[in-house]
Amino acid sequence: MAERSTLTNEAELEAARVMSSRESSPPAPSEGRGTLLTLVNGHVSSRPPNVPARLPLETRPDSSRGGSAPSARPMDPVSEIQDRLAMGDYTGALTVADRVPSSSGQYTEAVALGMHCRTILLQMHRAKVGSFDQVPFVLIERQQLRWLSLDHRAGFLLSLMDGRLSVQEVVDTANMPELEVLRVLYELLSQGVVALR
Amino acid sequence: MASEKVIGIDLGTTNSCVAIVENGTPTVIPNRGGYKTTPSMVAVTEAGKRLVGHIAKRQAITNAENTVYAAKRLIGRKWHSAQVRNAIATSSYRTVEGPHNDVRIVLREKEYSVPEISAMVLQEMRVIAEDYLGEPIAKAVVTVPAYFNDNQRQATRDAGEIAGLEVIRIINEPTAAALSYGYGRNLEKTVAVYDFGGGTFDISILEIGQNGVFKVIATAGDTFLGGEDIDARVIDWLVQEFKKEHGIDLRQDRMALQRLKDAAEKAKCELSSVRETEVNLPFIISSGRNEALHLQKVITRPLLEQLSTDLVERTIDICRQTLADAELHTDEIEEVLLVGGMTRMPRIHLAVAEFFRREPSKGVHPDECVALGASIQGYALVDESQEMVLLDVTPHALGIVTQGGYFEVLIPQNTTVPTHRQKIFTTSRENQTAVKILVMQGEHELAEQNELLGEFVLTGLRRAPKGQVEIEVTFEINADGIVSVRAKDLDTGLEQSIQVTATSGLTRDEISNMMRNAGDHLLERRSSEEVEVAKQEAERLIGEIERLFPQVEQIVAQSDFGREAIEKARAVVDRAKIAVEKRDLASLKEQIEGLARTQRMFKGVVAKTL
Repeated sequence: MAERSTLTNEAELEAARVMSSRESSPPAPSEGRGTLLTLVNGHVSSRPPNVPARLPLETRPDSSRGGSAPSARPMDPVSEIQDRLAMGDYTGALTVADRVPSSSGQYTEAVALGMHCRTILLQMHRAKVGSFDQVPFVLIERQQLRWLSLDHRAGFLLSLMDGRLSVQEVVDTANMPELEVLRVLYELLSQGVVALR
Repeated sequence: MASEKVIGIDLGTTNSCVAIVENGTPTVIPNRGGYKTTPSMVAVTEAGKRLVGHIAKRQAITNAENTVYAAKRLIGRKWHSAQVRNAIATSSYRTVEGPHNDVRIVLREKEYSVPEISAMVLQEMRVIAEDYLGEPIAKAVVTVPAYFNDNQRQATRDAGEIAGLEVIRIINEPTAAALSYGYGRNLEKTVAVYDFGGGTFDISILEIGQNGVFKVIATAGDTFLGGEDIDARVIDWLVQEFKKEHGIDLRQDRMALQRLKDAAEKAKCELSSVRETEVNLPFIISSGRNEALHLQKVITRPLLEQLSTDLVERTIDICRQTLADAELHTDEIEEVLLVGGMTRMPRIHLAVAEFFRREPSKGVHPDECVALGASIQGYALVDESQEMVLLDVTPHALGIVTQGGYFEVLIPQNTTVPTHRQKIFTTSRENQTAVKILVMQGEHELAEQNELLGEFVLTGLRRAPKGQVEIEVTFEINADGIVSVRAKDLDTGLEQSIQVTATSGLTRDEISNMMRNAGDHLLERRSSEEVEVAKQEAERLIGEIERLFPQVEQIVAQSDFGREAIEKARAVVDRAKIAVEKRDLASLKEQIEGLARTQRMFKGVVAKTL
């Protein structure tokens, strides 16, 4: 029997997310601004003003991403995390773990697994980004950034990427969890919005 | 030629600057980012990492509780003082009372003294200078506001010591600015120094005399008025405009506020040279419907001027009052020097020109002249061939409290030191057998308005009607600035004395400990930089070897020799990768040698086949 390929690998899952965001929000020329914008690398499509941007970089735990599918009987979080870990879906596992109230003391195993996921994801993203001494810089004109599909956290991180601060300094100044910074940075790199030097 | 190098540091409330005299020319030293000023900000990240300068500023709002700014407002001041109360009321970081009635700042649950925080900024300036000059720097001249008292000056000295710098002289900021202006020009002038910086405003009137005498004849200011107040007005306007448009208060989001702060400051600076500028902050916030919103607004120069009119007017009011107090008329001011970044604002330039009825001098750089002046003084202090450019003077008058709560001056302000003065006082009550001598510093005729330096009691006086017992009081300031006060009963010859030593609120042991900590931190930082250089070299060599591997393997495959060398090379690369991962300097250095040998060998093998 031929092997069936699955998207269980974290790198593939991430890539799928990035692709999904890249393909989002098609341009629709707005009134009084009919020109389509052609941007660097062809990654950025035009978006008229006031067209709501999708937020593919949203990393807050939510039920729509990697989370539990609604079911009649709620699954034990530890089992769900373990299932996801078995598939290599660390992001999904972490999302489930983050929903567990850490103060309850009831789910110490889930909390521990969540920490494990975070460590693994951090290692993966560190490896993807490479040396923290590299300096990220924005490839797209400031005026054109708004046509991207980003959220305010990505917008904030982009504002720190001024071509002077290194990846390490962006992590230090962002006051966001390192994992989130690296995830956003990786997605911006994948979309060709920023580059490293 | 000067035998050793002395840097001049302008330790500002919001920004600091370092300069040195090179080949007879005073030069400002840029930091690694190429900026000639460095924000006087210190922060500690969640990971416990210390940030100083621009990087601390970039996260000042998102990490507000753990970012210290304007520490200068607190240095050398007592916990219960009104100035400290005011400063605390406007600070986002936590402060507590220290063991010596001083101020301590809490960052990530660790307490720091104010000189310790200032030392971090001074250490950064030292590192900037050392990186530029390529040699260690041990001595500095540091500037302080003219109104700083002895305790504040001592606290600044202590900060230098903690930073590993011997502060060979503390000089007044307006004096340094005037020195930079008058250097090599042999002037005799009365100048006004209008200093509008990021956090404070100062106006000083100086007399530049021959023989290196720069007298501060009047100084006043507002320690809570600066460019940041103008930034705040711009932020307010942007927040209001956004709220009108989207119904969302950007102040509720720290990331948005951080971006607004950066953008407002940038816009303000740009409007000094252009008529209008655009603030463009894409994805500033997400709406309730998860819709990303953008802020895009044009700010014009007239709008900025309108937003800041009252602030500019306040500085002019202070100038007016200062001249009136000093009984000076604007006609007597022969030159006006503009200091501080805010003086680039055309409206301010105009307001100053209108008030003083003369065009301000273009002979000084507003951001750099104070540090340049300090470097000139530093150079003169170590270069024997140079004439002394500044005499050491008492920054404030010294005296004692007399009947009615008045302050009797014995040593006037701007007296050159060392010096000593005597005065005879009498008893104020019938049969008075003891007198209390309260030693004070300041310019106000009412004692309570001045700073108490110390007190002592002279007992055993002869019982006599009031006014008959004569007590001679002597003030002496030695070359190290230590003040001794002696009171002597001229009838009996009995005497008592006190030595007044300025204190920053830190003990010697505390300073030593802080010095060790600062030294360790610098060592760690230097070592980390060394590791980084070694790591990059190792990574470069690994990349080069890995690039050559396929070619070398192909060549070796065609011969009976060299297979073992390939295995060894792989082992060298693997060990080097581990060393890179561990960031172990000794191991990295060792592996770099092996990598370099392997790379040479590989290159040789490939070259032979070409």
